[in-house]
Amino acid sequence: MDPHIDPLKIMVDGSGRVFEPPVMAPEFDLPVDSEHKAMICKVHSLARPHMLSFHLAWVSFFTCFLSTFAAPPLIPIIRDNLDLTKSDISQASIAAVSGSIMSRLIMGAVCDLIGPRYGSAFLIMIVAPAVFAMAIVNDAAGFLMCRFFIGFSLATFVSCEYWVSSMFSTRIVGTANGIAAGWGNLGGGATQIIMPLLFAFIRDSGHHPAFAAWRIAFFIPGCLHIVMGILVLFFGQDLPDGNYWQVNDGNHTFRDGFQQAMYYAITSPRTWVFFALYGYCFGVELTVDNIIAEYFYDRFDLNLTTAGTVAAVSGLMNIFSRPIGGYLSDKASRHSGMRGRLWYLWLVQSMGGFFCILLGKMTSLGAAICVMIIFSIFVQAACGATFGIVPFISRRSLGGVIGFTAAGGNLGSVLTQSLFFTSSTYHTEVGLVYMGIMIICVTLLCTVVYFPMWGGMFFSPKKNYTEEEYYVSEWNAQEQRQGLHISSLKFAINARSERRKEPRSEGVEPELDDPDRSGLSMFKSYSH
Amino acid sequence: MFMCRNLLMASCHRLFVALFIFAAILGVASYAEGEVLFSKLPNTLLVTAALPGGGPFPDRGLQTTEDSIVVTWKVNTTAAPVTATKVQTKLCFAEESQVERVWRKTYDDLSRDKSCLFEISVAVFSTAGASVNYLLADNVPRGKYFVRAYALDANGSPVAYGQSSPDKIANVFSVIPISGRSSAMNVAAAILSVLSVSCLFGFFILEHMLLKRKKSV
Repeated sequence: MDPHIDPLKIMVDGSGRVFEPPVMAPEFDLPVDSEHKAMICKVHSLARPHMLSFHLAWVSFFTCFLSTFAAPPLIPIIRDNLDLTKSDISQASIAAVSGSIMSRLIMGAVCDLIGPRYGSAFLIMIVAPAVFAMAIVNDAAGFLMCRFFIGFSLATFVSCEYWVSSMFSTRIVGTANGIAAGWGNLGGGATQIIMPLLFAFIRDSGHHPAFAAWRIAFFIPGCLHIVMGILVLFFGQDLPDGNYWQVNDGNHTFRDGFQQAMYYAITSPRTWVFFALYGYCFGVELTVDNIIAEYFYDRFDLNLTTAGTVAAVSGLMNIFSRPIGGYLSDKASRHSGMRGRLWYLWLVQSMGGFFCILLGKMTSLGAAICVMIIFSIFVQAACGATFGIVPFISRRSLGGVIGFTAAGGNLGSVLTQSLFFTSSTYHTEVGLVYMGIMIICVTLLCTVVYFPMWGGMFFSPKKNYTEEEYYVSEWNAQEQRQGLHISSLKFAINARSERRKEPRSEGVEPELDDPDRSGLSMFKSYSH
Repeated sequence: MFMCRNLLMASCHRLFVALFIFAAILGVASYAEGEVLFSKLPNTLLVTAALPGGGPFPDRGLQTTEDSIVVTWKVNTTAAPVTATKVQTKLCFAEESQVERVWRKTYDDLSRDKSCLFEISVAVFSTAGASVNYLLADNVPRGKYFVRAYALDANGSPVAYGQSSPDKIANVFSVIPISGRSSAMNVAAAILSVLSVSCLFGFFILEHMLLKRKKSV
């Protein structure tokens, strides 16, 4: 067996190391496990059903990010057309990210009910009218309502992750999820280039006044919503073996009710720490998506297209920085277990805060662009690093923990925008400095995270407390008698890799390998 | 693996140092240019803005792309003489249109000033003055405005100014913008919205009917 695996190779030529032999299933183009989930992720392929669904999932998430952040690069024109004040603009920006706080929490349950295919398509096509409505608003109130409803579509993050987790087996699900989330987030960067270019094209070649050109430009993301929704419905597939309705004929595995599933997420204090922490990496990324184009337009006197391009560079870093953030978290874990992951997260997120302070202090364009790029890389890497730790917080309520963390990200964006970018008493650059200081302060919460079996940043683990005790304790005695805790037990055994410098148990007991495990750590190490 | 990590750290360190030096150079370079301060400019031009037919400005305001104003400037003979080659007239925001809108803020340094964003005309400088008929452009936003003229020297730097309002509060006129909307846009938005929702529910219903038919077969 090849002792060292480069995770990128798994994507490119599919020669990943597999711990369980692929099942004979000639109807699939990719090697699959016993649940028919793909064991490799061939990014350049459109093989049905796995790769096609993968691409549909991340492109629909990308589309929603594109339309949610379609307004910010055009704000200099919209604010003149609708006669907006600074507080109107910032309230609308806050509304754009606050709508999805609730929708992300609910989306997990929705996907459980009707499948990720209908979940994605439903959200995309229901939100399309709000995108078209943006083209015909007249005032600040209408602008705010449109941004609020379009913002709901950010819940496609959950359906995208859910869909990818259903299609890819546990060895590769971390990589696949990281790529899908990173490339979906790209939408926030791409839109900063696309919308000003569309606007300029419509205004100059179409000979429309500026106040009409931006409205016409909004029809493009709207039509994209409809097209993606139709593609998802026609070509998407919930599960490798078919759609939900075809497969779920009563013989599905035990599923917790909504309240029960949330209970173990809510009662774990670690969930709340990450609820706050994710707000200061992903939340900050959303905030910057909202304000950065306007910042470059106003402070450095760039024209709309150039300001949009500069702002886009920040979002485009997602193409590699989020996946690398997760990958390096896995490397830190190989070196020092969970403590290494926590220190790495603290370091990367604090560096993000430091460069945010520096960004506010830069007075020249070149320096501001450089610092913004470095800041974006660190912030997005911190997002990836967070999801290297989140899957370990709870096994029973994994969906709940992911939903809470994601919602916390949006709440962080709401907070940072309300605190630092709403009032007229100080400029955006001062707001950036304050936001950087707050990032550094909140990131200190990493020191509080404590896993009894692995310890924390400064504290040692409890003596003789095992991973099994932690994960199996989520099931009561009666449930354990029924054997419902078996998947958590299997997960616990594999989670021993998070101990400091202990021999890895991955792949040692293949008969306990559980294909039921999903959403495991990002880029879980494939080599020893 | 440890060596690889050290190499990576070393090259990252070098990259950061290089970026900081680059940023520092750019930071210093931005202070190299001279600045023209508005407070130092002499008020030697007399500027008026009026309707083409004469008479007071209407209360409801002037409609962009339909109404025009006549901007007249001439040199104030009692003020100190000034040498200039061109005169640039601009539409400027009155004080009440700058409230809560930092992107229209007034700065003393004219290279940073944002209070006059719309250019009306550039004419050759002469002591007798000139007037220009300006049709309000389609991208002028709602607000109250006055007109300002800058006398520019050969390099294009302002050397004198004049404005139609003494304090940016009195003698200002209102402007009503175009909405940018059209009935075609309204119709298109309505049709596409209905299309989106009906495609979604239509597909859902059709797929269920098909499934029911398959199951009953």
